Amino acid sequence: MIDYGITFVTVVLMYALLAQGLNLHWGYAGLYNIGIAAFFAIGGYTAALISSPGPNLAVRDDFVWAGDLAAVFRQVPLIGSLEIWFVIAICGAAVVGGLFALPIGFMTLRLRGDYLAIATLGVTEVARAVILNERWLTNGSKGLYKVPQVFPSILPPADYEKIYLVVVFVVVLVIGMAIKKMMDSPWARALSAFRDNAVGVESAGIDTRKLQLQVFVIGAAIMSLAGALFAFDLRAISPNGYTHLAGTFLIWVMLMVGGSGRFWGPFLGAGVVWAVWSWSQFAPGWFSSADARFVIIGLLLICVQLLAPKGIGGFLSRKKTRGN
Amino acid sequence: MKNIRKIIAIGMVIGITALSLNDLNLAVSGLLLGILIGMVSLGLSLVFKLFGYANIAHGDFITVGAYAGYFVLGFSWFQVEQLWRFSFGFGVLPAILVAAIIGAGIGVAGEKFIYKRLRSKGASATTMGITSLGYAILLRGVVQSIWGSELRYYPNIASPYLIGPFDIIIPPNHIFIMLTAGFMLGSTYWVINKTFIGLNLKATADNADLSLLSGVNVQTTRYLAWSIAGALAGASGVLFVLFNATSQLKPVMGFSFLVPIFAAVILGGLGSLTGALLGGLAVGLIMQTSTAFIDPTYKVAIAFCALIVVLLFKPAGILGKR
Repeated sequence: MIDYGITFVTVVLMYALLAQGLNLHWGYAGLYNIGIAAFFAIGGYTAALISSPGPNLAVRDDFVWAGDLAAVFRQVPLIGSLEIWFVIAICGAAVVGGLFALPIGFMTLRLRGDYLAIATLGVTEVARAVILNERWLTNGSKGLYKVPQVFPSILPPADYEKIYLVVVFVVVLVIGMAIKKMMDSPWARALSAFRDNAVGVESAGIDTRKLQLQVFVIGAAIMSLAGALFAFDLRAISPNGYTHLAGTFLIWVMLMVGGSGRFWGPFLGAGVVWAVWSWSQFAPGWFSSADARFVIIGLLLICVQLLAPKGIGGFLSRKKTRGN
Repeated sequence: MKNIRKIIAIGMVIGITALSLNDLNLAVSGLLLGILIGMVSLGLSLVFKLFGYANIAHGDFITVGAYAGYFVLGFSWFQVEQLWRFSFGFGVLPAILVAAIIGAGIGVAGEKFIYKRLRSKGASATTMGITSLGYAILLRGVVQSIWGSELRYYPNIASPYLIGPFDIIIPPNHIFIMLTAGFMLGSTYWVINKTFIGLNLKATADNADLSLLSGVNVQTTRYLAWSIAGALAGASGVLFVLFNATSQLKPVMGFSFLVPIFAAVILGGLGSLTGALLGGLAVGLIMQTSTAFIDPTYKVAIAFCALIVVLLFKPAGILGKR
């Protein structure tokens, strides 16, 4: 039971980080991104590629290069046990994700919102095609399955989840504090104001396009970082893990259920939606099937938009103000 | 800068012509794929014109149409003998009809139960777009719950290919698709340009409040727009399956066509109906003729690249107004 709880909290925290990236995009800046899966996959593959050991020709691995960062850093005396490679891997994932987001944002942010949606959707399709076809880079449908553990020497491998919860908690804490800081800044106010009243903000002399580009890149970097965290949790990644449903739609539903534009929204939403998602497999009959998840997620998104557009977060905070 | 639209258009025409002349077989099948993509894009563009948001569920309208056709073809009294040299019998006609009706039905249902309520609450266009994402997932979930997520096949009778002029190989099915799609596009053109329905549609798209004052039943017109778009998408679902040499269908088929369809709409100019059709033809040709040089699994990526080129140089599209 405790083991299950640990896994549950770890997954919820990682999803919350993904949703937090979307919260920056949609909740604060009003950017309509439906290609989360692309950044998720880019982050996961970047982190896995730079930290995994190289190809094993005995089992006919197709990829030609992997950084093996974990083994390299562990040989260094003194700092070898500090797992600096992990920090480099997740930061590298964030940087690469941000670099991919830059041209997309540059091309589409000057146009109306729907163009960004189409462009991000297209990037997801292209990313999936590349991951499946370019076997020299990604090992194709076999995926990368030797992603190293973090802190392997502290507890036995069976207790990896416990260590990893701490790692994820620390990462989410650091990123979350940074996001909280960002959201309280004039920068975020200008973005939210632009979402609500474009002409007003531009007439105040603010270069909104630059702000939007910045928030798009930062949000995408956070999504990629979350993708890297997922890769180190599962320790084996393949193209099947980055579908539209699990990579994009689920995150949208989490943000919408939790309440977009609020700092705690993604955490609330990730918890509630992941509970529904993962516990549905214990439900009887059709409800436990993978098909039912599509129906549930779709209905949830529609119902939240129709009945409670501000999500649980909005519901809670409204009650609070009434009480006062 | 004024001439950039012309330069891009001429460049694309030259490029597509060169690609087409490289392999005439691919060019002919690309033209056909383009007509199908154009058919769906036409409906999507119509919806965009009236409501101002990109309907993500449009891809899954195709899926629902294809599976509705599968359902109809499953009945034994429609599994009649082969029609001419097509891979199917007479049953495909009721299949297309049912697919169109069900496509129109889910379009209208979305408007009635979701979008109308959202609009009355004053939701923004982007909010409606996100809700259409939910509708897309819901539709695919329903399809998967009924028919499962594995590959399915229409009854498929093998028959020899036809040899056209210049030794072009034409599968007989493609002639049927050409005729049916041409008929549906022609009747849509007639409805939009020659009847009062089209007049109402254009008036509502231009200014809903004014047309309400002028005695146009705006809500009925909205339902009509959805049913036209849904019917085109649903019927094209069956045709997309027949376009395949193996007549296979799977629940993601519609969603994976979403990028080419949007590429066609944007290429032609958002909200422009003729533009959507032309854009569809261009995207279909680019997608099919590129397979002579690039792995076919990158077809969608090629369509996306065409979209990116347009976004970079002429975001309003070839026939767009802004």
